[in-house]
Amino acid sequence: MVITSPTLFARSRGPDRFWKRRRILALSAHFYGRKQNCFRVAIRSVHRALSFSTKARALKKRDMRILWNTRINAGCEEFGLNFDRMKIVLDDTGVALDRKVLQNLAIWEPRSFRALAMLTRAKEAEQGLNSLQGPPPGVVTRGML
Amino acid sequence: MCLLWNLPKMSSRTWSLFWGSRFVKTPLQNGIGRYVQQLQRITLKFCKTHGGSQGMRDYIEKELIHFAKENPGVVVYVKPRRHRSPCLKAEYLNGGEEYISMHRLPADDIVRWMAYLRGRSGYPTDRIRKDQHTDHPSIQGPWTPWLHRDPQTNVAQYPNEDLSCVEVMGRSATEELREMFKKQKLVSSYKRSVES
Amino acid sequence: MSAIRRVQQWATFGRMWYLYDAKWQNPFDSADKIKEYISGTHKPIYHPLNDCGDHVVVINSRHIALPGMEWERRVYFHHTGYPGGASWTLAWELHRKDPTLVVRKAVYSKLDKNLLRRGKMARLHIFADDEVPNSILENLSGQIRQLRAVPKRLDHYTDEEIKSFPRIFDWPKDYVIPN
Repeated sequence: MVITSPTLFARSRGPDRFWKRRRILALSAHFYGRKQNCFRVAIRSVHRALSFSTKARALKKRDMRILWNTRINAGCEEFGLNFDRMKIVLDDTGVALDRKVLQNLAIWEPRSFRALAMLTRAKEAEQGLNSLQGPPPGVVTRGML
Repeated sequence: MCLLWNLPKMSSRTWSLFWGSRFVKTPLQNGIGRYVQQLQRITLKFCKTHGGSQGMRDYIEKELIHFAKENPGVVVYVKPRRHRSPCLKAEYLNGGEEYISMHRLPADDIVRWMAYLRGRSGYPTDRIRKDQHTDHPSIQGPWTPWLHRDPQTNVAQYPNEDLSCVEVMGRSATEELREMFKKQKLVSSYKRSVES
Repeated sequence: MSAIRRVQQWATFGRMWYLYDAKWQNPFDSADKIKEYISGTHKPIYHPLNDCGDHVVVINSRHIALPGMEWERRVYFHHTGYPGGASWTLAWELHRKDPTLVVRKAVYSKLDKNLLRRGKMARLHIFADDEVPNSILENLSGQIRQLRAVPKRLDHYTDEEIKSFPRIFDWPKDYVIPN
C-alpha cells in the first residue's frame, strides 16, 4: 500500500483551506465524537494532544531509564550487589555497556551478566571492599597475576 | 518520496492505529544465501492519446526495454486503454498486489516507481517497530528464577536457620575485642611459662 | 511455540514462594524488602504491566521489634464514616488485637497506590507464630534473608559461655548486683 496523500498535498499549489484543515484532521482521525471531524473542535484537542506528545517524548526516556535501573538492580541483587557498586567497577575496568544493554544481558544472556557481577565482586575484594571471603572463584584479574 | 516534513509529528502509536506496525521480516529468509525475485508480473496501463499518460508513453518507448532485459524473471505486460489514466500494477510471489497511479508523472519518476516495485516483497508496508529483529533473542537461554540459585535451596527444609540469618559483611567491634583478648592471653601465658 | 520454548516460558514466569522470618525485625524496613518480592521488582524481567510478583509467607509476626518508642507512639487511625466515628489505636493495642496487622499495614502502605495493590496484598501470607499450614509449607522454594541479626538473650547463654567471656574488670567480692 502506498500512501498518496503527501503526494497529492504537494501537488495542490498555493494556500488551500481543504488541505490546511486536512493536515489537522489527519491527526484527530482517531479521536471520539465531534473532536474527530469538526475542525473548530478538533484543532483544540489536536493542540492539546500534541503538547502531551511533546512532553511524553522526554517522559518516555525517563521511564525507560527507571525501568532499566530496576531490572539491573534486581539482577545485581541475586549476587548480593547493587547497581551503584557495579557501575563503579564497570567504569574502572573499561566495560562500556549502558543500562539498556545491561538489562538486556540480565534477561536474555544471564550467564554473561553473572560474569559481570563476579567481576565486580572480584575487583571489590581486591580493593578490600564488601568482602570477608575474598574474591569469588573463577575470576582472574590483572592484579592477581 | 516523503513530503511529510511540513506536517505536525504524528506519534507512532497513532500511526499504527490506521496503518499497523510490524517487525523487520523477509519472506522465507530471502537474500540469505540465495535471492528469489518476489515480483512476478507487472502491468503498465496507459492511454495512447491523453496527456496524463505522456510520461508513461515516454517510459515505454525509452526505458521499458532495459527494465525487461535486466529482470528476466519478471513478466511485463503493456496494456493500452482508451481515455483512462495510467497506472502500474505489480503482482508478487506471495499473492500480494500493488497498484499505483502514474497520472501525469514524468518518465524519470516512473523509473523510480518501477525500481521500488521490483524490490518489494509483496507484503503490505507497515511501520517497522525496530531496526533489527531476531527469532532467537537468547543464546544462553533466558533468565529463570532458578538460574543463579544455589541448588542447595531446592532440597532445603523450610523454615531454615542458615538461609534466614543475615549475611555477615564485616566483623563487629565485640568480635575484634575478643580476638585481641585471646591473643593477649596467649602472650601473657607464654611469658609466665618463660619466667617460671 | 515449540515444547521447549513453552517450558522455558513457564520457567521464566514461574511464581515462587518465599518465607520471611519476622522475628526481631523492624516491620517497616522489612516491608521495603517484602514489597519488592510481591510486586516482582526483584526479578530482571520486571515490567509494570507484567504480573510477575511472588508469594511471601511471613512467620513470627508476633515477635517483631518496633524501633524506639514506637509501640507507644505509633498510632493507627480509622474512621467509620459516621460522625464521631474516628478512632486512634496505639501500635501495642493493635498488636494485641491481631499480631499480623502491624506487618500487613506496613506492607500495604509501602506498595504503590494503584489498582494492583489489593492483588499484590493477596500474595502476602502472614502468620503470627512459626506454625504454617502444610499446604503453604510445601509450596516454599526459598527464604528471604533477615535484615538484622536476631539478638540472643543473656539467659539463653550457658553458664560456661558467660564465664569464659572476657571481663574488663571484676566486681568486688561484697558487691551486690541489683536485680
